[in-house]
Amino acid sequence: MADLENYTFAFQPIVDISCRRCVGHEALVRGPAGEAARYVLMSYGITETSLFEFDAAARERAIGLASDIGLPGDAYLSLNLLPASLEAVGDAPLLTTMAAIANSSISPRQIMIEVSETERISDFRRFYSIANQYRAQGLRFALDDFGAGYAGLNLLAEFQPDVIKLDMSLVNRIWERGPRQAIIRGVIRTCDDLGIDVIAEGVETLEEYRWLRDENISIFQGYLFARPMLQSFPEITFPR
Amino acid sequence: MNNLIHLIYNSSATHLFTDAELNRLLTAARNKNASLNVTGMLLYADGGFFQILEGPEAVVDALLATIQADTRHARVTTIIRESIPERSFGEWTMGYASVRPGENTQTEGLNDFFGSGEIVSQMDAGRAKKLLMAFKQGRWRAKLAYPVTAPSPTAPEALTEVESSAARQATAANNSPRPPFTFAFQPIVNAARRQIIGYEALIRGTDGEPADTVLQRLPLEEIAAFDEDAHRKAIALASRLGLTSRLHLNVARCSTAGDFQHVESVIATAKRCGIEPSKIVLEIKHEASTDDPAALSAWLRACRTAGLRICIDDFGSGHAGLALLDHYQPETISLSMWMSRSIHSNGPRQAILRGLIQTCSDLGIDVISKGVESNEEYTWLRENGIECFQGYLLAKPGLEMLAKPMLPSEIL
Repeated sequence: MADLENYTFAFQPIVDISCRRCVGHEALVRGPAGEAARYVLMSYGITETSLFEFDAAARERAIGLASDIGLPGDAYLSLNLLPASLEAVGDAPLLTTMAAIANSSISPRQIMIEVSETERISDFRRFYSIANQYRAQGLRFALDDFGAGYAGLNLLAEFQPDVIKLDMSLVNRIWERGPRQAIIRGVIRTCDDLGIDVIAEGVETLEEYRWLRDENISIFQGYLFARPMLQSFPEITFPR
Repeated sequence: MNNLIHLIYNSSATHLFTDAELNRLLTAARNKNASLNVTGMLLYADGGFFQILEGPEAVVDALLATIQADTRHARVTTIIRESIPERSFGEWTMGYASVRPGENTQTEGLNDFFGSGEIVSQMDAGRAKKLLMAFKQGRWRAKLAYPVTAPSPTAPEALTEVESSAARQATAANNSPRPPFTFAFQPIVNAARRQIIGYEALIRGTDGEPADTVLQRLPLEEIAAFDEDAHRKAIALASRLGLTSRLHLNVARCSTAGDFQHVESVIATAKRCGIEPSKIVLEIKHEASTDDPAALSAWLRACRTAGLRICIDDFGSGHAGLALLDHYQPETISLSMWMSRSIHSNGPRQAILRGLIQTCSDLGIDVISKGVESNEEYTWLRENGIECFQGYLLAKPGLEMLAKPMLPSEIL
């Protein structure tokens, strides 16, 4: 597992068009030469059990890196978390994250924890209680890939995150797909009622951007604004 | 460590409050909350309250219990209860605002919250602020609570179905290794039109035993064949009982790619029994779908081409989520039980269901609420646009009979 030392991160900006500013960066696992995350996981042969360790260690490393390269004080750092790791070993994976934050120039308020909707959470109550404990310390939570997986609505009924990231598959060609439009309008309605911010992820074309903007979505992440950049915070292009 | 939480709820006043009454309420709340170290904000609009309470977990929970017992309001719905790193209303023992401009502004201690926006501009950008803004925009406004009257079920006047008291018929196939079975029928009602729109056929033992007692004795490899047999039997029985509305059949397993024998058999039986294929609704649970989405799509297309209707059953559980509505738009979905459970007092479920109702309405998908158990649940669902219901509140399944439903009287 010594080779694991070689992985690093790319950062992709999350932008708010209402104030034309970068509000955060998502840390994405990459190989040393920018290889995709799955390449890292495959080539280093990470097993089911060591996956949890990797998940926690990756957050620590991402915090260190973001701190070293100067995460702006008004931007948050978005980090992924495997919810199953909390079910397996309790809150240890978040304890190490908090320790890494304490050793960095980043404050807990600048950390957003992303949990994918496609991950199975078998014990909602346990997850909710741990998440709530860290919320009290300032961490924010996002439900990632919303609309793609099994438990979206079910999970949302038990746990109201600060942010929902609409899955790329819903955003793709949204301007010409009626069912996707209807789904996104419904999700926006639900999120408005619960005080949840909606982020449109994987936005790649002007048409997608315009449709979503016209539905009052103001927070975006995607190639249209900035591609992920290895070990640095990229410049943003704002569409006209 | 004292866990700090905020709890946000709305409720309906049981009468319209005068300025003087609101002032008394507010003074009492301020005194009490100061002693409890609870801060927050109370909003009032046209007979609806909306309150944010911040404080130690145990204190806020106990306070909510007291609040729920207060008879000056009803329908207390918890919208959000979660831990917070710090208070948003540290400066106020209990801020107050009335939403209509001009209302209450002369009263001492009552401020023009939305007019000046003073409080909001000083708040951090957390959930409390977002929900205040949502309330300003007209969300979470509870209506004045109607006087509580005992719900009196009344028989609907315009029921189009014919009740049949057909004698129970032995339908068991005794020389088959399969356990003997028959069907109970439970009505599905469109409450807005006060009409029975269909009956769901539910497998039962010949003495009315639950479906599981039949299905558990069934070898796994027999399920597809059993399904086909069961559907033929249900159609024939429903026809004998004089069914004129739709017949909902549960599909245990969708056929694999290219195998449409089941669909053809259902259609042939329906025609022979004088039931139009368009009156047959196949209810599909997520477990029934194959692992192959393309095969499922082909199967669903074949059903539709043949004129059968599709209902995605138990929507909101398992794989039956929003993505499914992107891939396939059924005529109908039926809501998973958890969605409507205690819906009248559960804010997150209300928000989810409002969004889903909008999505389905945009896509022309009918929504059936199954398993509604109380008048409160039923009333909330009706007020929020659900028209179709099935459940014990309306009618229990009738063994080999088309049970007649009772509609809770409309209290609107």
